[in-house]
Amino acid sequence: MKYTILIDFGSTFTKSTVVDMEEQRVCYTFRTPSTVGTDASLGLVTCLDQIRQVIGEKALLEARKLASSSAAGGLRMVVVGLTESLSLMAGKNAAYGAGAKIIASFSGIVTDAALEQIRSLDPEIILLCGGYEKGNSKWILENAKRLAHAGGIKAPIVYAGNSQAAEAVHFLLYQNGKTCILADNIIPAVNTLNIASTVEAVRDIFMKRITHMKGFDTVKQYIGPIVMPTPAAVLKGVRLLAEGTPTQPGWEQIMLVDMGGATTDVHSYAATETLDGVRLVGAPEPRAKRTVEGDIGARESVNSLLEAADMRRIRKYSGLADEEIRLCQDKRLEDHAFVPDTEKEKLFEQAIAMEAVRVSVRRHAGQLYDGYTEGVQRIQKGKDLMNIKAIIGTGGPIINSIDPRSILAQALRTKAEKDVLLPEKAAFYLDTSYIFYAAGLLSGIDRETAMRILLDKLIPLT
Amino acid sequence: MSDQILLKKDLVPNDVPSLEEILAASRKEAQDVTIGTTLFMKKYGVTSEAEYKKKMMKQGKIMHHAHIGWNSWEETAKGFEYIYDELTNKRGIILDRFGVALDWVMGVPQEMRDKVMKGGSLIFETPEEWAAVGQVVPIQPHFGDHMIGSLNSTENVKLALKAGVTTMGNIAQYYTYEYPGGLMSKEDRVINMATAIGLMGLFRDQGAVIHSNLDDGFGAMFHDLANLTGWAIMERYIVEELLGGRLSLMYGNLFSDPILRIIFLMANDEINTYHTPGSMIYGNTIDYSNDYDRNYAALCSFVLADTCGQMLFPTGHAVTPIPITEAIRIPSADEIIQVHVTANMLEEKAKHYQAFLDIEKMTVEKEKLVIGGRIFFERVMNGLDDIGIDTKNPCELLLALKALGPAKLEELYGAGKKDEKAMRGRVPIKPTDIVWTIENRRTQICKTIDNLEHSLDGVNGIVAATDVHEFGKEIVKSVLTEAGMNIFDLGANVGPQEIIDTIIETDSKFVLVSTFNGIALTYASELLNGIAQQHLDGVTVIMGGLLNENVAGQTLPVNVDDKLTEMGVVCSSNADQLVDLIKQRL
Repeated sequence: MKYTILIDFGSTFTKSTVVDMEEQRVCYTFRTPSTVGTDASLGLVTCLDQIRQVIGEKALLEARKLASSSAAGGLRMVVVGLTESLSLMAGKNAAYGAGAKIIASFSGIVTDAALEQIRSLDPEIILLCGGYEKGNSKWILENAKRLAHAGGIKAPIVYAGNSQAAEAVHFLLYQNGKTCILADNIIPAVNTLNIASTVEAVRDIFMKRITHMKGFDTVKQYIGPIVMPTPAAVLKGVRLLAEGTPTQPGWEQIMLVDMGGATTDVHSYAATETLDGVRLVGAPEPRAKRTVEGDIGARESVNSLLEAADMRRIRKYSGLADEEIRLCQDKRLEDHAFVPDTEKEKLFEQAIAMEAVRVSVRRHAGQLYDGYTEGVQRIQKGKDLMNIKAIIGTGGPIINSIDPRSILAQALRTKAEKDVLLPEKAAFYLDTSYIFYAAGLLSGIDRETAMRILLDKLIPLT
Repeated sequence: MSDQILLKKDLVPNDVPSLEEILAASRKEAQDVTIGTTLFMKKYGVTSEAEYKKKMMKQGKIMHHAHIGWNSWEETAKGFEYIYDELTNKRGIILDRFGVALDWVMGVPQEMRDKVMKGGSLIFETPEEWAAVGQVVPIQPHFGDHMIGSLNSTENVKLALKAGVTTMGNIAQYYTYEYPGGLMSKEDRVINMATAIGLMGLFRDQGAVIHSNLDDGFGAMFHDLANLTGWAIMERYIVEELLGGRLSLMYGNLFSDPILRIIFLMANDEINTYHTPGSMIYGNTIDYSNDYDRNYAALCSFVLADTCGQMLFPTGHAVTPIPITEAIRIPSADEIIQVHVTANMLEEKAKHYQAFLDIEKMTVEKEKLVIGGRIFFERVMNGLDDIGIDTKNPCELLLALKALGPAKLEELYGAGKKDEKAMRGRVPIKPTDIVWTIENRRTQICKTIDNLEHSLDGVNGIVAATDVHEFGKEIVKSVLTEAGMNIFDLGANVGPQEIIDTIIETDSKFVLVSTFNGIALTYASELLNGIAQQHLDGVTVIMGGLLNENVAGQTLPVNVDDKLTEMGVVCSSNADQLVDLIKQRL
């Protein structure tokens, strides 16, 4: 089998990457506007037609085909924990790691207002967690009871809390007509994180949803079942690049920033050790971490991006007055497929991309705070990314930028930011061919080739 | 760090300078340094403390050390004069050396000090202030903490040498003492420290001696004394063989058994290739509590053993009588004088014991430690070499050893026989006193409690320490676990908010806090407020340790037992009462 075809059913494009397995290189890529909203198979057929012309009918038929899908923007999820710093933090990490988009999160006993919010948001999945093993059951059962009795909440509930309450939680929800999936406790003991079974449970629901979307029956006939959600494939690609293979050394600690129209995703791979002189507070962080900033995007989310941004920087980077900024903003909201066409638009696009990266990586990274005891010990909340060696940018506003380096440089900490756990320097790369999903999918069958295509396709910014 | 596979990049993630580069930096730093002369040097006609110690060792004189921890130079100088006058002038008792406790901020480079909060101890601002330390009385000063191993190692070494201080530490502090994060990278800290050691090495023939208190570092955390001996060989290897310094190893804080103190002295002497005179043997502080009468007995026990040890095997280590109040407060000058007078009397009596100690039996025990120690050292060196650590590069070694930590070092390379059921997977050749003492105290306490087993089954509790002292917490934890309580241990340096979050995640009704760092009142108040804000009803907070609070303008922290009780905190330092106390509140 000479070729492997890797396909991604994204929310903007259906992408295809053809890998020549003998030569260990990408020999063709093609993308077409996504048809996931109408019939996923239409986009696939367009891709396959193009590929046929390049490698021929026989090779196309023989080629191994692997696909991922982002299920039209990702699984919309609500996370409920007991404390912000422990169970909720662990729950969020599990949800993001599974490829979900968190639309709301709550800690403590869920209030009526919270239940109302969940009802109106209508999530596709709810993660309920909290309590160390042999720890709190009381609050957990109370939350389960409230969710069980809340009318209008239809989403399946994954329970990943104290196992002593699991049976009762399951029964309560079942009795009230709710679906409950049991997973292992994500925080079984102090300083222990166990998100694997929650990630799997969420992914299962994710995959079922993809399978039921229009056109995926036909897709399955062409290329077999979808292997994994796109965010999981990308995170797998990030992990591969960091860890390397027996013959190709990894890049050790890396970060990938993917800016889209609606969201900005940040992936990082870094050891979870704490700094000297610092006590790590809160749930432990996973080595491979993904966060999604739902309010940071260049089109649908441009308003919220500007709310989160420092407007002085936007004005400075773009050189535009407030009125001009407003016009640029409106244009993007009206037309999500808008491509900057004038000098002013390009400058504005550059400015919002710079701010998007600055804000989203700072939310993703950990930070130091003054400690309690005699000024000696400091507190670390979140992940230490100070040893990140490479920062890779992808997504339209970054890869089409006139100056992507300045955008990625926003991920570095400045001299004044002593407490932000970001690197002071790093090498910058661009991924213009969306290679991470492909490498992630391919790594399941051939890590060496997957690593090689990653190394070939990433463009260093000097 | 991966639990399964040990990789060099997990231990030493970034490049560090070579040995040659470090030594070149040391030579550069040494250019403008000359060793100063203290009153002590003038009085005894020596150019270093090491020279004096060698003379005294030949004469069979036992030397003594006093640890000074007052927070202003004025008070310290006055204390020096008072102690010298009372001990030497009035009673004819020679005190050879003072250990001067510097504020932690002294371990931070001058240009970074405005970013940190100063502590309550001694701070020297100028070279003149440093120099004054040896000019008050003819007792030789010693600097231990916040010197070599701190973030400001090289600069402090230069200032101390110029002031005439020739023995200084404390290498062990590098492994366990942490300065506020973000000030300096771990690589820069070891580069600075290795440069300082190299600098001391350039003055070794003039008597410069580096000091390391094993019990301050990983020493306190090993479970097997043979591994601790191996660790001592490792510290010697880095300081002496790689960087050319001369090392004095101190121990004693955590050695309760008096005979073991002598055996460990013998083992230490055997691995001391260059016969560097020792700095001091510290007093045993694990037996010290708020019971002064018992402390007095503990004092006599270790001073007698250490004095006999020096009579039999003169290593130059000064005997350190610890004031019996030390577990409660920073001792006053009179309390220091009191224990030195006691030590003087004990020295007279030690002569009678000396001839009847079973040296042969002690030698057998010493051999076990040294042989086990050499095995541990070899295993660590081979293990690190296998994963690509350059064992000839001091910076790589220092980083790798610290990243591994004592538990992992013992598990992977321990000298004891492998046994899955044993703590850290190996049977200790000789358990350390701290392990033995915790186990012993637990057994003693458990024996005194009727129907202990299952008496607290199903009860959830949290244990935490507000500082680095975990000894009391460990005993409390083991007794309550024995009673069936389900304990959630948050470890050391725990903040109130962490406890509050853990109460919620665990539904614990009992919080046991150990505190020694003068913040009991502030801490309790923040903790109780948080508990109230979260409406966490029925939670009992029990505090033990040193229940005091630093108050501005006061030299010593003030006891706050009454105030804590008023606030609703249960004050208890006795682990044997805890089970009843908890039962009553169920």
